[in-house]
Amino acid sequence: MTEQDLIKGCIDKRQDYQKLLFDRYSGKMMSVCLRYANDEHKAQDILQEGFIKVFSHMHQYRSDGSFEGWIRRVFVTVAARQVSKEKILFADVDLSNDSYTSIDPSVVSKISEDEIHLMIRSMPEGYRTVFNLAVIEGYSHEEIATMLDIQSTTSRGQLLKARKYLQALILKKYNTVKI
Amino acid sequence: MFDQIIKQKADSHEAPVPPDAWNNIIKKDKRRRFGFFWWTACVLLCTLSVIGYYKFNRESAIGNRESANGNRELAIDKPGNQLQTPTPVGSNNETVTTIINNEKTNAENSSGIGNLQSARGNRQTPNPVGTNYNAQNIVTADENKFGRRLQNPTAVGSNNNTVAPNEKTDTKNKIAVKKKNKPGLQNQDGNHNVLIDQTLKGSLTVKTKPSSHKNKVETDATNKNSNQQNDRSLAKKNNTVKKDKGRSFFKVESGATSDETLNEHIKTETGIQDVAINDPAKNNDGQKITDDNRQINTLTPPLKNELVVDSAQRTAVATTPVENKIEKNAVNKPGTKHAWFVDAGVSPVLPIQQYDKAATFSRKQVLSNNVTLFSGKLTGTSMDAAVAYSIALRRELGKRISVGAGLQYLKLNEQVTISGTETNTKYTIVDRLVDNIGGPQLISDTIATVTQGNRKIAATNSYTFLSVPVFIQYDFIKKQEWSLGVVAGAYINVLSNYTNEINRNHDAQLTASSQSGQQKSSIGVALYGGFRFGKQITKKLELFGTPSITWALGTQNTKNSLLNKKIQQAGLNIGLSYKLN
Repeated sequence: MTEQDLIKGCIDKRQDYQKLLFDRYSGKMMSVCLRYANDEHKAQDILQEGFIKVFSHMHQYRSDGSFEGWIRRVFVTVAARQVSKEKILFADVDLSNDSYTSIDPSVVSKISEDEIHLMIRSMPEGYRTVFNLAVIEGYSHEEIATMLDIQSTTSRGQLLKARKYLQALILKKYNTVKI
Repeated sequence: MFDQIIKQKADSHEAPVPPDAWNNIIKKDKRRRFGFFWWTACVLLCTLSVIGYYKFNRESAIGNRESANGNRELAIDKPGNQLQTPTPVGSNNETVTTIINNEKTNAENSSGIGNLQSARGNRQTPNPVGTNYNAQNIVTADENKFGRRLQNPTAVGSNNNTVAPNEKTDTKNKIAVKKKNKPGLQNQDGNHNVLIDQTLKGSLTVKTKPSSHKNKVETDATNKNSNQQNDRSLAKKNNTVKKDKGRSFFKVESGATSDETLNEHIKTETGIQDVAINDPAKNNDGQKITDDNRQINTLTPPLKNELVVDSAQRTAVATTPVENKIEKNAVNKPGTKHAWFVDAGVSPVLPIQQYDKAATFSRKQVLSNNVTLFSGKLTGTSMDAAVAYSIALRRELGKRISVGAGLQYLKLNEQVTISGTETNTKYTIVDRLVDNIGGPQLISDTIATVTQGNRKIAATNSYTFLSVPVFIQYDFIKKQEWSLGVVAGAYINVLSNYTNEINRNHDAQLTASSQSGQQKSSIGVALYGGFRFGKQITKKLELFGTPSITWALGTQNTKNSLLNKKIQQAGLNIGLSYKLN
C-alpha cells in the first residue's frame, strides 16, 4: 500500500487504514514522546493525543513534504504543549567538569540509537526540551521561545548547556573506551 | 556535526509501543467526538432555553391578561353587581371589586345594564360622562316620575340612612352622596342629608353626604378639581368618552389633558387604558404636545389599572480564552486556521436608571355608573439586580485579538411606587317612596357617592431583552495558564418585551395585572467595555470573568411604558469558553 493510499484511507476515516498508519509510525512517535515526556504514562498520553490529532487533521496535509515529517511535527507540537503545561525548570546543572567542550564525532557515531535516546531522556527537563526542539526538530530559538513562553536568550543558554551536558554524559560513559 | 549525528540517531530510534495504545486511541477518539456532541447539545439547549423562556414569558403575560378578563366576566354574572350601595364601607378590596364589576358591565355592554332596564321599566342606567351624564340623569328622573309604588321603601342612601361606623368630620377626604329628584318631588321628610364618614385602611376616608332634591349630580367641593378635570376632558371629547366608555385613562401630565392626547388615545388604542406623558413645563390648556412631551398609549387588559415606568437593559458579555501558542503552532503548521470559541456566560447585573424627567400621573376610569380619577406622582423607583445569560461565538483574528457575536437574554425588574389622590364618584339608582297626589309613590332617584382618599400603588415593571452582543477582544497578557485583556463592543437589542404587575397589597387597591408591549425604539444600542480575566482549565476549556460597564447610547423607548430613560449597567460576566478546533 502506498503512502497516498494510506493517507486517503485515513482521510476517509477508515479504521483499518488508521491502524496501518499507527503500526507504521507508532514506534518512532513513541520515541519522540518519550524524549519530551520522559515518563511512560505521559508519553502514552501524548502518543494517543498525537495520533488523534493526526487522524482528525489528515486532510490538512499537503503532499509537498515528507509525510513522516508532518506527523512528527504534529507530535512535537502536541508534546511540547503538554510539557509546557507543567512548569519547566530551566535550571543549570553543574557536572563539575568543564573539559567536555569537544568530543570526537566518531565516538558519537559508534553509540547506539537506544543509548543516545536514553542519554537525551536523562538530561534535565529544561535542557532536554530545548535540545529536542532545537537540535532534533530544528526549531529556531525564537520559535522555541514562543512555544515555551520563554525568552530566546534562555533557549540559547539552555541549548549550550544541554549540548555540554550531553557531551559530558557521552565522555563519562565512553572516555575509558579506546576508539 | 555532533548535532547531526545525534539528530540522525534520535530520528531513527523507535521505542516499544504499549500493546493497548491503539485501543486507547480508538476509545479516546470516540470520547472526544462524544464530548463535542454534548457540548454542542448543551449550547443548543441553552439557546433554546433562553428563547423558550423569553417566549414563555410573553405567552404568560398574555395568558394573565386573558385570565383577568375571564375573571371579570364571571363577576358580571353575579347578581347585585349592577348597583352597589352608595356606602363604600369596608375594606379597599370591596371598592375595587365594585369598580371592576361595574367597569366590566359597561365595557362589555353586557346584560347587566339590560337586566337593570328590564327590571325597572324605562329607567336608564346613569351615564357617567361628565356633564352629559347629568343631563341624561335629569331625563331619567323625569321619566321615572311614573314609577311604581313601593310596598317596602328601602331605598339605599335615602334620607337618614346613615352608615358610619367611624363617623367623624374630615374636610379633606370625604364621600358626598347626593340625591337628585325632579324639582317638585320631595322626600318624605324633606331632609335628604346623610353624612357618612368612614375611615378606611390607610388614609382613605369616606364620607357620604346627600344633597337636596335636584335633578343634577354634583360633586363635593373637595373633589371639585378632579371632577372639573373629568368634565373638561370628557366634555371636550365626547367621542372619546363614547369610544372609551368603560375604560380608564391614565395620564402623566403637568396639569391638564390636551386634545391631542385624547385624540391619540382614540386613534391608537382599542385597549382599556391610555397613558400619556406630558412635560411638566407645559401649561394645562391643552397645548400641543411635542416629542419631548412624549405620549405613550398603553394597551392594557380590560379593567386593569397599571402604572408603568420604562426601563432598558444592557449587560456585558466577555469572552476570550487564553490562546495556546503551542497549539496554535500545531494547527497552523499542518494548515493555517484561526481558532473558534464558544463562550457561554452568566452575568449578574446592577442596573442604574436615569429618568429623563419627573413624572406625575393622572388616570380617569369611566364605568357605567362609576367615575374614578387618580392623580399622583412617581414617588420611588428602584431597579433590582438581575442576571443576564449570554452565548457567543468568537474567532481569533490574530495572536491576541479576536472578535465575536452572540445572543444575550436579560430580564430587568423595576419596583415602582406611585402615590396620589383618588376620587371615586359612584352613581346609584334607587327607588324612593315619596308622597304624591293620590298617595305614596315609588320613584327612581340617583345617588352620587364621592369617595376620596390617598392611594399608593406598588407595581413591578419587567423588561425582557434579547440582544446581540458584538465585541472585540484583545489580550495584552497571555500566559499558558491565564490571560488578561480588554473587551469592548456593543449590544444591539433585537427583541424586547415589557410586562407590568401591580403587587397585591393593602395599598394597591387595584388587582394584580400584567400587560405586554413591544419595544418601539428603532435604535437599541449600548456600548460596553471591560477587562477580561481568563484561566485555562483544560486544553480546550477556559474559565473567564469579565467585569464590565454598559453604557446606553440613547433613551430606551419602550411602548406602553410611561417613562423613557437610560439604563446603565455594571456587571460581571462569568462563564466558560470552549475551543472548537
